[in-house]
Amino acid sequence: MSAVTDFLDDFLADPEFGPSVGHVERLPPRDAVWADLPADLPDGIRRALAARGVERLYSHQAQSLALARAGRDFVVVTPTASGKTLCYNLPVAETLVQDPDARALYLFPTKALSQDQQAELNALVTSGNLPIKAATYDGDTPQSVRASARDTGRIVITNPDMLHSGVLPNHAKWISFFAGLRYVVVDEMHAYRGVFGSHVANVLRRLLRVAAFYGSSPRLIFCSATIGNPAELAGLLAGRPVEAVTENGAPSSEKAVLFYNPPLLDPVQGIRKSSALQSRSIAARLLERGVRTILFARSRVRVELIASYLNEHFRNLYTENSGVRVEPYRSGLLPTERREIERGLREGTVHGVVSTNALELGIDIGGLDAAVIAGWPGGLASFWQQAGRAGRRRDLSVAVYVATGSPLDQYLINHPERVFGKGAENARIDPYNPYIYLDHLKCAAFELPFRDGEKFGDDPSEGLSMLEDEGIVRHTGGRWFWASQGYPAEKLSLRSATSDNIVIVDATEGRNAVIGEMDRPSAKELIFDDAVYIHRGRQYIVLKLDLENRICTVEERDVNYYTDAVVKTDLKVLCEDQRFGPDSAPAVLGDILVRSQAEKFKKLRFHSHENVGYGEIYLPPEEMQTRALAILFPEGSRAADVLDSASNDMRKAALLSGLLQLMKSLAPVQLLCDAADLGGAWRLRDDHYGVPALYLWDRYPGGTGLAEALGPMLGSLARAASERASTCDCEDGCPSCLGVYDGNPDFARGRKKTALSALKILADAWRA
Amino acid sequence: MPNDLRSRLKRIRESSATAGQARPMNPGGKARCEDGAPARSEWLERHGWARLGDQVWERRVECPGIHAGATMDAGYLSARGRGSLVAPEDIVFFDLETTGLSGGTGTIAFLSAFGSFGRHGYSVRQIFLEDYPGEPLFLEASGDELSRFKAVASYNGASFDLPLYKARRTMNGLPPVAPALSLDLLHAARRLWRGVLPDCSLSSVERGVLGVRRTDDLPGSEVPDAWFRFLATGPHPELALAMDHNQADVAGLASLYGLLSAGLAAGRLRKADPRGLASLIARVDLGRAARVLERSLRTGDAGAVPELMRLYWKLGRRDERLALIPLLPDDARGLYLKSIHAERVLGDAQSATRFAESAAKLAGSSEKACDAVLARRADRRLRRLEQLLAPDA
Ligand SMILES: [Zn+2]
Repeated sequence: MSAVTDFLDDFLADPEFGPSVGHVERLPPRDAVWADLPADLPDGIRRALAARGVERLYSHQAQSLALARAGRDFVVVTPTASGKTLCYNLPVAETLVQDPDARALYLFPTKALSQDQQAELNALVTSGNLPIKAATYDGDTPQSVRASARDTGRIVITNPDMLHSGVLPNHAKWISFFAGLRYVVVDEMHAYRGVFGSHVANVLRRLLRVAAFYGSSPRLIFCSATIGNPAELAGLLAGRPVEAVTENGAPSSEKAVLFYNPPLLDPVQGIRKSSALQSRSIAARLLERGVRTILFARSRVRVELIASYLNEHFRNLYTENSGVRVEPYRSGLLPTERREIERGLREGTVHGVVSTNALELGIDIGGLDAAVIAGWPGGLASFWQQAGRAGRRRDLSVAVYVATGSPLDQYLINHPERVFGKGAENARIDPYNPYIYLDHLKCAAFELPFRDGEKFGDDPSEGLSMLEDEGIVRHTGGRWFWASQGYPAEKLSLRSATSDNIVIVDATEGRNAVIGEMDRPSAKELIFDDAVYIHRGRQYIVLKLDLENRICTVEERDVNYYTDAVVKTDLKVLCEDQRFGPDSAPAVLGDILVRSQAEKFKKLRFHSHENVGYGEIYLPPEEMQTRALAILFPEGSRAADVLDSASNDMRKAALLSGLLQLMKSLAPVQLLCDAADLGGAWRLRDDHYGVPALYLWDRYPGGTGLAEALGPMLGSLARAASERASTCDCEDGCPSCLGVYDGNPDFARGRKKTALSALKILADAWRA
Repeated sequence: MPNDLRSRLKRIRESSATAGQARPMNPGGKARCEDGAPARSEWLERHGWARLGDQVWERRVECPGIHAGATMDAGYLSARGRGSLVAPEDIVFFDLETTGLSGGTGTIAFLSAFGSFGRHGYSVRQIFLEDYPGEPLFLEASGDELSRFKAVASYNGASFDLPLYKARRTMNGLPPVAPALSLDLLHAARRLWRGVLPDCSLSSVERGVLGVRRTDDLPGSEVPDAWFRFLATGPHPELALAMDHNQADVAGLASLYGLLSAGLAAGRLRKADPRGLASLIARVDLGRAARVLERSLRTGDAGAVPELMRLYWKLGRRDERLALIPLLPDDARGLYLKSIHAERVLGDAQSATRFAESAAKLAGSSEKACDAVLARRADRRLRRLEQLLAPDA
């Protein structure tokens, strides 16, 4: 009996926890599907494989090799730990052994992953004594090593950021590399969605353009965790059709997945026990039994709080468990802090970690037996990656999904078939986001002049003449030349909306140490003057947010509250591009201008969330153009009639705000995006359309395809919303469905019933 | 979605125009005066330029006041050139003006200058690129100049101008030029005048060492915009200044070369740091380098001792080297050597112990890796000496 089996038996029988487990899915162990090594594999590679214990291939590895040999672009979809690296290492090594001039480029989303891969490649190369030098080339590569990486690296391992800002703008230093480039490997493809993915698609276009200049046309190999549209996403990234390998031949160990819905405390108001607290208790149970556990929390604040609680918990238990050490691991930690924690996990001095999805990107921390997932991580791919963190050995492992009270979680916890069925979500990018496209058009023009009629994804002439207007390219002699002193890649970050991140500096007792950074729009809503900022379990007060110099000074201080900005939003419709649905319930896709301003903030007590005061925020508004979907209630339509049945404007407002809240929180299930990627607003009488309206918009300037994708999905969104509201136990809306109405409760009375009939009308109208 | 990229871009363009957010014009963009070509030609001719081909111009300027300097061993200025003698007539003095200083493949050169000594003294030939499409011809004409000479002298050309020129040829599909011997005078200037002059820019060296003050010079940082403005709106006085700046750079380069060739041969150079001077001379003639340091030592420069000891070592002048040991500064290494000297030459074990002890202490408190090795050696020496001196030994 393993510790995990013991835990499962006791947990399900425990009167405190057992009744809240709504679903147990047993994923049986799966046998491998094998294929023989091709007879014509070069001897060196055969030796290298044999030395590493590989005598035959999994079916997906063999299929990959066959596709690569046929010169096809392809994407391999695999769960964690299924031998995916061989899917690209094998064809690449074969080509490099056969052609001494051939080169390959490997792209990983993070430096940590590049390091893992470098180690793996070295092992393969050494065991076969292969003439292949793999070199890492990223921001940490010392200047002295860079030239040899460029000139002699047969496989260059880097990340999209370095490719974008270091390699492509200096391609004349990489002539033999580009001239020999045969493969570009893009691993962890599912990480390239949304803004980041839209950037990376453009970086890949630039890469292929430069390669073509030196006479090469490399093939692309993608690897991805499970998503609904691997071939589509790979095709959008590559800018050309890509084939998918989806049958996975790797074996897997047995796993139990538990769906846990924290018990209701107040059915009327729909309040449940906190998912963070419940996850924490479950993790504590696991750790007590010596089960090495990772807990995923949704926010960095929670990560901090949970980790410090668990450590406190074990310190106060005067047993052998008092040595249990749990570390927070999240984005915003400095690289050295992260490395230290990763080492602790490997060496066994750290027994548990609490993480945001920073670990999602596959950093190999090994040897974990249980994963506790506090709140839906935003997508099936993320869910399975988090659940897959546990169970790298042959034994039984366990993953516990603990639902929050959000409508999304409450919907999913009651629909395990959405998680265990076939329907993984689609990952979306928009390589033609005009802002992103223009930025990369600049970089591409810097790298090589454009010829008249040359394509850059789409036809770039409109964009190029905009740049000509700005005076940074010059159109003459049938070409567009870069005509500015600037170095455009330097000013463009692939990771966030704006490259001007705010650096957070701890000034406590003259420490003056950088403890983190944040993008500008978020900073305006989170680290304004007097805000409370939490980092590694410590509380800080913001002394000064200096937007101009991009510095936020904070000081450590003990307070018993956190802060929450109240943001006011103005909208202006700029154009109407496309209509969805019938005239009785139309939705309009178009560009809007969103102007948002944080004007004041609330101070809320920890745990009770009781409001203990207000403060003013003096910051300039944030403005952006983006893509939005407006859902309209035209006069005389049945939906408008339902709305009008609310006797006054205040009641209508309570209803509209509830509908918006519910739809906005369920939309991420369909869109595979983060809840924070969508903005929303409701209007009682919209300035532009003159009727009541709900707006949902993409929170990245110019959009990343979310609003477009939502249009055709409105029907299923309305159905899911209506089902969520009808199965919720509350009376007039709660955080798990319509949200809490923060005005006079009289106006919210009976709104759930009205909302249900409105949603039914919409669902019928939008039925595809 | 691709279909409406154009309209989305148009909308952004219009709304940023109406919101008055249009960014300040960079001067490099649209050719706004299509009829400006005659005006440009006339202006260029007035400034001494003659058409070399489509969109490429040249001019030659005589610089009577510059003396040729002496033939010297290229080894002073280039490790690869050791042993090959270059006469002033073998050298082309070279400088590029570019569209940016940050490098990368979007930076191009639009103006080049080649100075050389001929029968009638020093003269400078410049080649000017009138617009982008003329770049291949501009590069070829420049390449002809570069390949005519045995050596190319430049100021920071080894890391900026020459690689950029090479990259531009690649980008334009031209074969590489045969590599001449590269003499980068900046490297020498840094050794000679770092710490003596406020910085080692060519104009600082001209002012501080050659006593030449440029009038009406355009700062290097404004040169790119001068060309972009010319492209956009036609000729203007700053471009003329940029052209003169380019010419003045290679004139200054030749003067500096003259000064160096004489000074390195004589072992004396105005305002130069003697140790830097000796390090350059030592590349060719160790004995002469030693004389420079001996002279410096006589004027009380104790800092010259370690370098001089190294030279004596290489020259096999052991006794002279030993004689210098008492003059070494009291740093860890100096003390260590003094300990050896005291023991082996003077036979004074007590002083040797004292020196070894101080050396061990000083090296032990340092964080430098080489000092750690020294600390261990000093420790061993100290223990051995103490044993030697122990009463029962
Ligand atoms: Zn509810």
